[in-house]
Amino acid sequence: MTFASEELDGGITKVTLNGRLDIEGAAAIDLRMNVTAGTAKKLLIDMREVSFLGSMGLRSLVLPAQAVKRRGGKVILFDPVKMVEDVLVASNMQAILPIHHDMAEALAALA
Amino acid sequence: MLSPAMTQPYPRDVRRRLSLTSSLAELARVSPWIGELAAEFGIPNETRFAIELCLEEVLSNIVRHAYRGEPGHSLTVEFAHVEGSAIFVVEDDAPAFEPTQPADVIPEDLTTIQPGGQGLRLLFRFADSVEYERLADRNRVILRFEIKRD
Repeated sequence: MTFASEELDGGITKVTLNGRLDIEGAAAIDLRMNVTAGTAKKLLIDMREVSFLGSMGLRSLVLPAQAVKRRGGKVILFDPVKMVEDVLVASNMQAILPIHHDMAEALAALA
Repeated sequence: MLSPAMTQPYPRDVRRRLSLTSSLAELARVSPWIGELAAEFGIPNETRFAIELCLEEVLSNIVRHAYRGEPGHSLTVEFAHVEGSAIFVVEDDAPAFEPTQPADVIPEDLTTIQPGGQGLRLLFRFADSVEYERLADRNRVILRFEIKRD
């Protein structure tokens, strides 16, 4: 699991995840996710290259999202593959970690 | 409580077996093993995803909760291909623990949800059946996945 972040216009922090968000993958990104969530106010998590999501990986998304939310920020998940989205939906997470498949819509939702 | 399906005999034509010890690092061996099974038995990608999701949940629960993170205990996973289904039998010798389906609570607020409480929900959502049996000194969880072709 790899992690990359970049700052976009409008104060948006984009995090790109790539690989399996399983137990091992979650451990690999937790620290960087939490550091990023400690300062970001508008966080876009690019999920396109995440091929697997388990419950430990879910935790790696929810905890940073909670940190951003507590500071009045917003978090959006961008374009997960179908099975990853199925996990998010089955966990009832899509209501609180909204999913967008169109980048323009995702950026607008964070504005 | 056992489901009616538990009256079926334990599948004896086990084809494959994976032995693990009780550490989270050991669980990294599961995905490649499932990959080999998927290639050999024609298990499609969506079913493979569900299998890996559920096995990660069951096995990590055993390591973290049943064995309380203590190293040196054993876990086994046996696979059988029975009548269009992939059957996985997980056994451990920890104290009795029956996985049960949690209530379906919709989190109302991002700041108050419990991020660690989703695993069992996912297990019952992605496996076609989940059965539990307490043996004399072991837990046995049987997961069944219908093999749906892509």
